[in-house]
Amino acid sequence: MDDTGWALYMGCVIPNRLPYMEVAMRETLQHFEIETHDVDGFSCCPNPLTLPHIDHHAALAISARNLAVAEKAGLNILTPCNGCFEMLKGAAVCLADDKELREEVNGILAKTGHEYKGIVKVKHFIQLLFEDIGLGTVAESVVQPLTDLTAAVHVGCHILRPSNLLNVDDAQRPTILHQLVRALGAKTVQFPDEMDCCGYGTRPADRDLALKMAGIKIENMKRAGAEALVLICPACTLQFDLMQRLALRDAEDKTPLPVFYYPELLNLAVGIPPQKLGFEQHRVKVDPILAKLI
Amino acid sequence: MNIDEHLEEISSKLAKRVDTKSCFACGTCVAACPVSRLIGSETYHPRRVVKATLEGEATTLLEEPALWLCTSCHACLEHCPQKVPVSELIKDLQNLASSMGITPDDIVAEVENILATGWALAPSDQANKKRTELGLPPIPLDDRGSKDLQTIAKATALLERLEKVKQRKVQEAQVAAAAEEGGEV
Repeated sequence: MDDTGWALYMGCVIPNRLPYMEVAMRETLQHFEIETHDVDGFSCCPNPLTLPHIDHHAALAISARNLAVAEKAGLNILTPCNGCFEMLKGAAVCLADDKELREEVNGILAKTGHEYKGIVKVKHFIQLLFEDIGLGTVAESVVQPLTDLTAAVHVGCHILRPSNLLNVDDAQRPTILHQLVRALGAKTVQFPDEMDCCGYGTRPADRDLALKMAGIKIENMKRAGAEALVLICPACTLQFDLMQRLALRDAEDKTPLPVFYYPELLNLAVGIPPQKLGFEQHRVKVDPILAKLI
Repeated sequence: MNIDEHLEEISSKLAKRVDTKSCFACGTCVAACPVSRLIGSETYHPRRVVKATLEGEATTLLEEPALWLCTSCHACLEHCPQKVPVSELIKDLQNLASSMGITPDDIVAEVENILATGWALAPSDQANKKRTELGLPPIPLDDRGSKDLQTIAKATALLERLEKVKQRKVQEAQVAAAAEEGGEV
């Protein structure tokens, strides 16, 4: 690993809608003594589910502008958001490899006073935990193993695919998140259609379809024996936590399924007090699980 | 460039990225697609999008609301044994539909918000209240690059497409109003 520092790229959803994810991430970074920098001048990545569908050239230029902001600060980008990761890493890979494309994009960026030379690396926070901190260190840091927890995991699409650009884990059978959860002492289950999208991407065109997709997945997780869901993506969190009651509207079994952001569980397992983590801001109550674990 | 020329460009772009005959219609993309599986492949069918484009007959797809049901999960692209970039093709067609003024309202609203504020979700008092409760600082009130984003929208086709969507809405409203007036007479 080179010693270029990290610009923390939080994106739009986490700071505005799910700040407890920001708290959990910052606690984890602090615990493992990973230094990051808050950088001025970033914009929306832009959201892979909206802007590129109107004009993907404009989307690439906006992503390149964000990369240029990090490049100017002499930093690489670390992001906790799957959507931001897909856009920024996708752009970084395309622009590093293709000089002609970079010149074309820089032609647009010149009008904003930016230039992108093509050297920024983009990493997902979960990738940092797995690759740089490592499963061994994570497991060694556990002071309170989560042995009583059986969880389903949902990685999310935009950290994996398209795999030729993102190259994080096996795009059809990913194991990183399963391994990270097990490193905390918990058990993970597999469930049918585990790799299917949470449905968030269809929300702009068809809200009911988006809810149905989430509902089916939650039912499958519960049938597989999961008593909680562990995820890493803010869009998946909106679907599975915020919208869960609506998603289960037509389900036979409406028992709520508590949802955790992976770093929250990690923080509990390494002994960070739950009071610091803002669990009361979850929509689906997590108290029954916390009572069991702590 | 008119729509047919655009479509031809998309077909030839696809032909360059993959062998034109490489889609052997195995249907793996349809089986991998969570939307097709849920709502039925008669309504949403990724393989038919590829076929129509390769045969230069995608014009009919552009006005279909189903074109926007793609959830962008890229399962089709990832599973295709022939490496046909199906979801990228669907995005190209959506871009083309936008240049005709066809785009779902929620997508347009969010993109306008991104250009105006730099945020996909604009900061609110409620967001800052939640942040304060957690000991986080409030969201900084800078322009978040929005002026640059507006410049980029002008320098690309983005702004023009957003205008086209607005024009089409106005035209559709006029046609509807005229029809209603006609009906009353």
